[in-house]
Amino acid sequence: MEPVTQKTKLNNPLPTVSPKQRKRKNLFTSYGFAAPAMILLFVFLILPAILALYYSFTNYYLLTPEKTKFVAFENYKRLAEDTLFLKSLGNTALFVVIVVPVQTLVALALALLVNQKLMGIKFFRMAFFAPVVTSMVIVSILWTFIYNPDNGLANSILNIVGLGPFQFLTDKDQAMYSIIFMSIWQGAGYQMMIFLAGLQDIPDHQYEAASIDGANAWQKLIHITIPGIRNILAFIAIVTMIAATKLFIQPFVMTQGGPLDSTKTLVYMVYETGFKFRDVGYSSAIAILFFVIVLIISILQRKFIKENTE
Amino acid sequence: MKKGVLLLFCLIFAFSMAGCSNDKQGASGTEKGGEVQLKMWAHQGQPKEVDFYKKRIDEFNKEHKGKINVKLDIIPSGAGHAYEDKINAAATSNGLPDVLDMDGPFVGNYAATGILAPIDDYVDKKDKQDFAKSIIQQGTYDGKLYALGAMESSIAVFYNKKLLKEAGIQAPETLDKAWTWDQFMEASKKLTKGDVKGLTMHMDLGVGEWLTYMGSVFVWSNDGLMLNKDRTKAEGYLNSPESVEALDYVKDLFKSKVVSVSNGPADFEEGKAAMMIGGVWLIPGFEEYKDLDWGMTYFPYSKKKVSPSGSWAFGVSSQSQHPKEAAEVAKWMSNKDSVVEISKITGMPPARESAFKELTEYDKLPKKIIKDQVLNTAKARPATPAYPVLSAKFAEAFQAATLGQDVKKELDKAAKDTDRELERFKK
Amino acid sequence: MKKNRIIAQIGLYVVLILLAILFLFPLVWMVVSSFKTEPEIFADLKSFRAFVPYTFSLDNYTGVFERIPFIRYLLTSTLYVSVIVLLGLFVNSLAAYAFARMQFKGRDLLFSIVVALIIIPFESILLPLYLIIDEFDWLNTYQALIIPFIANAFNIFMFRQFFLNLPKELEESARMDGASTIRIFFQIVIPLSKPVFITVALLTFITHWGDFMWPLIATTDESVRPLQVGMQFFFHQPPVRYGHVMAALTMATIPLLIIFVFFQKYYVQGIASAGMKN
Repeated sequence: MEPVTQKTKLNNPLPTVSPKQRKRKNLFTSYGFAAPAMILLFVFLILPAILALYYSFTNYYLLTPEKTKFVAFENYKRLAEDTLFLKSLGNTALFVVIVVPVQTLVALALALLVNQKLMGIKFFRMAFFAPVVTSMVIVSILWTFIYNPDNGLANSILNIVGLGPFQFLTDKDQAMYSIIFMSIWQGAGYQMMIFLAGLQDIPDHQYEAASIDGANAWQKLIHITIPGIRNILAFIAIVTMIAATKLFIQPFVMTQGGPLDSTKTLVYMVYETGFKFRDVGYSSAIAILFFVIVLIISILQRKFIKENTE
Repeated sequence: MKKGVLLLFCLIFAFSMAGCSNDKQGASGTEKGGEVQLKMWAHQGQPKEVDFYKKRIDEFNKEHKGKINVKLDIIPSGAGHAYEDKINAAATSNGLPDVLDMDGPFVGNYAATGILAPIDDYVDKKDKQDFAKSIIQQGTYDGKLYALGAMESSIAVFYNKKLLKEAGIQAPETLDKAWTWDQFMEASKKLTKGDVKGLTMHMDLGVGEWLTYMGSVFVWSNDGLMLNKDRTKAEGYLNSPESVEALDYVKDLFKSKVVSVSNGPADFEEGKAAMMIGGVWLIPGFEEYKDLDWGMTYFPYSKKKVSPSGSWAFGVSSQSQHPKEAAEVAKWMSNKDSVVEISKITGMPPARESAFKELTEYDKLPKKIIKDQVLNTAKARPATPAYPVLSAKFAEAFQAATLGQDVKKELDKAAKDTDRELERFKK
Repeated sequence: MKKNRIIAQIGLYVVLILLAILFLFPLVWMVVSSFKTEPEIFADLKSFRAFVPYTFSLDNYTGVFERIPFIRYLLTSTLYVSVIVLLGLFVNSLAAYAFARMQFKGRDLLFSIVVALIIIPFESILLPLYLIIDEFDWLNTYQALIIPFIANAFNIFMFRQFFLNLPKELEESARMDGASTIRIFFQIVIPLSKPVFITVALLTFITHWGDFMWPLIATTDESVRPLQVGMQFFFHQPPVRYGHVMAALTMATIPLLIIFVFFQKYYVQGIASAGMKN
């Protein structure tokens, strides 16, 4: 109904409403603007977050909600003794610790490579970016075939170089590294593109001036390129790190968390405990802990970046 | 409190969204002109199986015209546990249908959590005796009957006739001559040559129900148990010396390289494995492989002859207003006519002894093997509310064995986790 | 000197080509295999022929259509993701405009709450959200896939940043002419903000196109099953045929490919600019 009244008002340039009415109307409009988003955020983000915290102190079982009891810190105590949980925590940490630096460096190296004026460079940019266009589920299915020890491409190719055969996903010591390799392969192109945008923002004259001063390529990289993309570097590190802590699709599709829980992650446990074992209480405790970890990472990184950029 | 908050938001949304009402879709058992209206869910199996469910329910409705009318919904089961998730969700929101179709090992969990109602009062004692013992086992929880199935299932050892002949091995053809574990191991070793493995155990199916379904039999055959008689304790049973020894046998099979943890999905069919521990539902798929000349023999045993069992079964939901009529449906779906017909359609063994008499192909080899197993050695997985945890943890321990891990340690862990879960259901 | 440079260039190309092979071989294998028969795929594994499209059979594709409702999955994904994008653009930009340009009580507090919400990982509210959706009776409906994801704290943040940098003059003069806030927003602000709208739309589309965990949980019916979940089901649905799966994967890649071909410029600009401002 609003637009109609507006139109009539436009025909009449002199507002007939008093300032007070107008103010109230403004207030109404501004709340009206914000309200849909705020209500949705409350119902589907804040409320579930509060409920997660609440459930983590109960023994909520998915099929018998009426029997739910308050159990204080029972679920959290159980976390401390749960070897599977500690293992998942370790697996997640391993993934993060390797993927974040390696993927960032690979992406930076790729960006430097394709940031040159060469014939056909666009093709190479697209090539490195291609895996990003293929979504994670699809990539995971594809690589499960590639990693098949007896009927897979990976062993055939490595055989040419005289390596292998490897067991990849069926070996507890190789499964996580196989997932790490694939994840970097899939994601590096995405960050390469962001780096590339940053590199292209660095003015050419800076490099020219350095060349006149006799700087070599390495010195230019350290003194011009890196400082020029520092903000982007920080951004990428945060985004990659937080995304890495959420590792789920790859182990879900490729290994179901195995073999021997070697690819079970925190988020995988949240899913498995909650939906397969229906233990909402315990699952919520893991979820809350996961949230706290993400929170700490973000705070630390923000602090670190602030110190470094000021 | 929780409900209050949610209801408030429900109201806020009510004007803009459809489907935000308390009129839950499932709410069962209404009456229309004296005819009881029932709802039923069945899982989406193969297309022919679904057609059978629909046709049988049509026939039921015709036969009971004016008294009972059933509306059947086919629910996709997919990979993972989509169908079970749907039942979970419906149970918490009072949306269950009157008649439920469920996979055998879940009966215990559904009975313990009050999703199912017992049907003893409606089932004739004599009729009950006609069912394979394993079907009654899987449908019984705490001494009460909750579900009846039309199909059974079984796992057998399939073999490539040509490869066995070449190795000079004769597979057993009668139950009393069934292979012992040692004989089975020996045959597997003999059959492993170059690129051809002696055996495939379908490890490509991942860590899931398959491993528990197949693996539990090794434990039982060695006089081990997964839980105590009351099904209240795993410690001392799941990790007893007998159980450990059973998984150690599995470990040895893999260690001696007669079977691989990274087999392809069709190694047996393609001649890359001489024998296969596989489900009888694979038989129709063999037709695609023209070169395959296959035979079947019994699941190998240690101290006791045991074979896997369990399949989809029908029960009555506790939310039904008309349990008697709903039980009629469950009984109809598992009566002799249904059993014979579904067995013909799916190739799965029938759940009734009388049905075997009509299905003459089970009198001859190779299918005689299945009949012998279903009627004599089949054992159901334990009906326990902790089944989801027990099954997952046992499957993990089984996988650990195939990867050469310390079996005792893995089973200790599985027993501990299962006991913790059982604790939840103690009154 | 010049000779050295040529050698360096050649070296560079060698590195680039090797890397390109590394990044492309799985995808080439996927597409090429989708046109081969099952025995051909396995026979070629040990040779270079794995990457050579010497046969062109569409059997795998017809096989996929016989076994799963692929088009249905595709339409489901396209539909639900598009609705999230459209409703999201509307709802989030409105809120962002209120935060950027209007004065009202509690504005700054509210906005800082919104910013704080960015940090909450979706994975940690999975179960309670599932229970809420169940309470609404929305499991297995499009509502479950769409409504929780319309409002997005990060997108509100992006919009607000952009609106703050718009020159105020145009809006003020329109106000002098008596235009209402809503009218100003739709007729002046939105046209000026096209880049941010396109960027947010793209980011949202790509994020939700890849959604997996939530649809896996919230939908069990085939009628509302998105592509990603459909692919995962198909992958595990016996009999596992490499050729069929490859054909399905190839087809499933096409939609996102189209999006990137058309909008690549905006996409890169968008994430890069978001990166700078953070």
